[in-house]
Amino acid sequence: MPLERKGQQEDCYFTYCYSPIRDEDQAVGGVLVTVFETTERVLSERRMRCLQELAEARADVTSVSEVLSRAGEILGRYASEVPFACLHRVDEAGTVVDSAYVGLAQPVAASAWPIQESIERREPIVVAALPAVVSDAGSSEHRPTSAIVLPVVGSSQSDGGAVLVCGLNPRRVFDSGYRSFLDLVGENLAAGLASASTREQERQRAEALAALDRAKTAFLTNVSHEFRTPLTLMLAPLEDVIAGARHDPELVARLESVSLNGKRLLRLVNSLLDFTRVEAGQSEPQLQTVDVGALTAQIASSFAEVCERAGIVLRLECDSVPGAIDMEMWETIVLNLVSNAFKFTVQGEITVSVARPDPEQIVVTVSDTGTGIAKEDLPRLSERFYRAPNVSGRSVEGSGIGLALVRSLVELQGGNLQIESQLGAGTAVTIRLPAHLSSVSATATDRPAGWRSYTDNPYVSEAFQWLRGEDDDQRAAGADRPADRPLVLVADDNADMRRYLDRALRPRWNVVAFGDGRSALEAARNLMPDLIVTDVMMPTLDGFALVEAIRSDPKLATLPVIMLSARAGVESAGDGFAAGSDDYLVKPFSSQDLINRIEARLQSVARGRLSAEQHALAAERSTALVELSARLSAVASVPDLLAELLASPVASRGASMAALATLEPDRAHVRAYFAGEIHSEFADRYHTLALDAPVPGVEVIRTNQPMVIRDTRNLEQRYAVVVSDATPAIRAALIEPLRRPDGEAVGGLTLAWPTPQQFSEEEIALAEQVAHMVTLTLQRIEVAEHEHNIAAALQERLLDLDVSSSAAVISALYQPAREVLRVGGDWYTATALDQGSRLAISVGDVVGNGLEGATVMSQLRSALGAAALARTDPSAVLELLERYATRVSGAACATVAYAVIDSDAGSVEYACAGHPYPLLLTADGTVSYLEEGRRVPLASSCPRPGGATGRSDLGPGSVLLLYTDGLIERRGESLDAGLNRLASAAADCALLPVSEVCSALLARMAPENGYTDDVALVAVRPAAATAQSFIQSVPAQKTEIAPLRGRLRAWLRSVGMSLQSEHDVLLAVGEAVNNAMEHGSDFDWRRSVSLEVFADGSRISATVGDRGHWKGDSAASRRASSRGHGLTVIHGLSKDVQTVRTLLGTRVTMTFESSQ
Amino acid sequence: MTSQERTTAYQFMLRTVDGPSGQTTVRTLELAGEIDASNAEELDHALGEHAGSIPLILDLSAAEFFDSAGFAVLDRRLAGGGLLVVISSDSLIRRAASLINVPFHDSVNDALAAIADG
Repeated sequence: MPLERKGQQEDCYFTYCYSPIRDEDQAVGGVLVTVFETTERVLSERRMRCLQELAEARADVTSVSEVLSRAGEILGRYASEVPFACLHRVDEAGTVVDSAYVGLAQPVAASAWPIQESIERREPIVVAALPAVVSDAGSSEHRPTSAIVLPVVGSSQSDGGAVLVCGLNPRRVFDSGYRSFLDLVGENLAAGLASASTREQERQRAEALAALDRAKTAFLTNVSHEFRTPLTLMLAPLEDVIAGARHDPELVARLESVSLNGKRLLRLVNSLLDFTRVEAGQSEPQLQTVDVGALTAQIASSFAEVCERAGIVLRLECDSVPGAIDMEMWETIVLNLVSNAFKFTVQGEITVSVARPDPEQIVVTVSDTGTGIAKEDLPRLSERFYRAPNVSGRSVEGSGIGLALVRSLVELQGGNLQIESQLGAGTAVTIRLPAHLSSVSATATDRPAGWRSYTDNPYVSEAFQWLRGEDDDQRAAGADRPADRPLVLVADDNADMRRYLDRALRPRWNVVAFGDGRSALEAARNLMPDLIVTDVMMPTLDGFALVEAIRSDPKLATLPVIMLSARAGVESAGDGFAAGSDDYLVKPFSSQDLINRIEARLQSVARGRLSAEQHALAAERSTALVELSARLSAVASVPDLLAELLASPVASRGASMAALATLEPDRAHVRAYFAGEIHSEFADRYHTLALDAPVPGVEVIRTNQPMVIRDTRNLEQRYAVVVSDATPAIRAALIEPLRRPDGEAVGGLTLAWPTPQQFSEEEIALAEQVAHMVTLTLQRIEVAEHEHNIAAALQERLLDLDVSSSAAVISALYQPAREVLRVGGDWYTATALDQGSRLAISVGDVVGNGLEGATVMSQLRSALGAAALARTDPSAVLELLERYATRVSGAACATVAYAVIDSDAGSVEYACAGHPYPLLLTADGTVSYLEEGRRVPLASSCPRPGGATGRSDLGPGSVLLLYTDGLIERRGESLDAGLNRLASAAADCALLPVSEVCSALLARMAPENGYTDDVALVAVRPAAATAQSFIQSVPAQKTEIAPLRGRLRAWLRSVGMSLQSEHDVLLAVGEAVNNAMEHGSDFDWRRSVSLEVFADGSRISATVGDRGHWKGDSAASRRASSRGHGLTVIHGLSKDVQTVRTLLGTRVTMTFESSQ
Repeated sequence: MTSQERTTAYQFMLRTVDGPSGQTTVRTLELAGEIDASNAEELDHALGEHAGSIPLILDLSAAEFFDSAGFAVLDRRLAGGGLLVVISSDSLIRRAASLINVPFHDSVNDALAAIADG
């Protein structure tokens, strides 16, 4: 029912339900009509049906045009959905190649639709303006006003595509249902087209194959013809040449080989020709009635001699049976069969029998006890060119047409052929021919023309040939060979080929040859040849199987194999390589080509052996590198890192010196560390350098390029200074930049040797690897050091030490507890008091740590500093501090030791609030504790009045040590035990500079697993001069230099030494003091430079300390006009120089041996 | 032969001895005292005053102390030419001078001979 909805005519479907409406009297008063719209259901059912029909129709179509016509047929039945339709198939160029029309009186030109556009865009296009031709499509009510062009593009539709143009029913809403229906129609068609075109292609392919087969037969026929004539023309004169060359046996042997192979080729060509003739139906048998038995026996007997030679029994059981046969064909049949039997029978017998078991047929059987044929190969055996795989026999040579030819010939004569075979037991070929009762009209002696005798036929000659090959092999295997040449094993089933190869290769190598794969493999296992040359096609084990066997034999696996094959083409070569052969040569090949390839293989094996050794070396090295990496992961400092490098043979390669340069945070300087054999002067001079310094170890950082210095003498002139400074310790070096992950060079690693070196590429590559490992290690160390630096920075910040005092030499150490990095509650101070000779020092310990502890500590420290200025008496100072501490929360039970040193008076006054006793170490090594001036800890709950200030003499050269209890406390040990340990540890420190006293005590007192508590230490040695020591501390000022020298000279005189020794000490110490003032202190008068000189017998040791950080280029003066002679003098005049650089300063200790 | 003494504020003294030597007139300076970073510049200055058209012989044999600052001055002055250094074999500073590779003569006479040889 047409309905107008949404302003559009529409076909709608309804179900009407009429129900009577009864009134009060039960009479029908009206009718209720219930109307259900079923349009959607009706349409979807109809569309489904249409699609189903299309799908069914698709199943058996075979051609594209059929698809179109069938689709047209079906669509025609659904005019309400598809008022009209056009189907156009286009080719790649867009030309319409096929069309089908539905519901149209006459075809619409394909050009009316946007076909190409639709295909290209792969989407439907609605066409609103229809061509006039369409005007009469469909019924008058359903005349379409628009159409949709659907691309019909299947996945396999590579060649062009198709479109379906469908008229749209104007009285149907073009909604998603309609739309998807049409889409599905399109997809259906696409699938139909795709399967049809696939089928068409298949058919075409089959036809092409058949045509190809015909063409091949024709080709073979032609080629065989073409071959036969020239071959015949060659062979005849060759016989003459052989006859004329009797005097030269060697030449005859060669020519005979040519002749034999020529004949074999001729026979192959003849067989082919026969065969193709039969195939082409050109052969008509010339049937003659003969005594088949006699003829067969006669033909077969031509193999008698060769069988005898091979030790095979040839049994002829031929009854006299007349039969109609083509004699020439029969000969081919028998010769082929017997020849085959001989080929595959290595021992046993061959039986040829002819019989007539019943009047109707003649049965000819050729049976053998040979290798037999596998069951699965039997059906294909007489297919032409088919050759059963892996057959063991005398030869696998042959074209594979023999049996196929025999079968064809037998069938031409009305007979049939049957093959029975059992692998390993033998084969029997049975020919059944229809018997003819007519009498024999020809005799068996009527031989085909052309052959002098049956024994002169090529089949027999070939059989002899196979035998000869076997004899040769046995000879060859036993032949003498010079021992020192490589052994080449040849495996080829063709005896001529073996001889040829033997002749070609023997001049250069020892050669053994084998005719089949199995014996070749066995020989290879026994003889261990250096190389194998193998044919692909061989009996018992073909070339591929041989290679496989070789590759799977651990002793032979690496043996080079060269394959020879007549099977040309890239694919065959691929097979060869896939099977594991090393090279592949296609016949025909020149002997020179083979020789070259063998040569190349043998050389590459030699190289391989060398590289295998290198490989082993590399493996060893990589193990060593892994070990080194493990060890490097444990080092905690740059010196340790360098020591590990030098200790590792793989990393150092015997280098005597290793150096590491790291870029300073300012990116303008480089700090260098040295290890190994290097003169200390060089290490001192080059410890910090400008990034632009002409020093190779620095330049690699600037250029980010490694440097290989095989001999320093060949370096450019601009390196002259460093080269001369480095001589004789360094004559060669490998320098690698150390790169961050982003590639930027942040350091350099130098490995150096005292003699010129020839670095190999490998060593250089190795150095690069080592450099990489060093970079990683360095990064780790830097992170750790960074943490340490933070601790040190805190120490500097929180625990300040007056560095200007000239009253005494002071040294302090702060060691944070092992586990955690934190601000501790320990402190130390050293403050110069108003009079220049007095110095106040303190060490304190606040309960608790962390930020809270640090805050309290800082408050107490400041209060103590103020109190020290307000009061002179230490006890009074602590009293003041106590009063302050009671107001500071968290200060409870803090302990403190406070001492005032008067260097002029040589005395110390002190007081201790709950703190361990100060330690006094006199110049003669006596240790005592200062046990007076005791007070309770600060802000304690039960304050008691403090005792009097303690007083003690502080003799010249004495050291006063204040420390926190962390130094002496051990779990499970009494305090006295700790004090005793400290006393004995300090006893031999009397002649050490104070900085060394601190570090020595810290090291000696350390618990096995490190300190569990923070430790602070302050050691003070008042300026003084004793018989054994000269202690001074002076501001870093030029004007201090000469007076200090004067005092030192006076002291040296008092010690008593020669003027020259005195001068040398003065000069070296003077240079060191000068350096400390200039580089370490920047001539800043607020900083002090300390000098501690000790005399121990004739030994003088002098330590110069500064509290600064050396900056700039320590070797720059070397290159400048001043030439930096200071270090030269220091190192030249002293016996030993030790330089210790820490964040808190540098100390240089020089030792002299004085003459009296 | 004239002689002239010059004493610096402290530590070193230069005695100048002028005299004919063959055809060449040579000036000889004898240094006594100590040279270090604090007075090396003064030495340099003094040598500068004497530098001229005639060869200069600096006799350091009697120096009690002569450090790298002093040697640096010598380096510069020696590079300028016209200066010869004399350090006698019994001089305290001879060992240091040898370490530093300063070219010197054993005696004033040797130096004069060297000048005469050209």
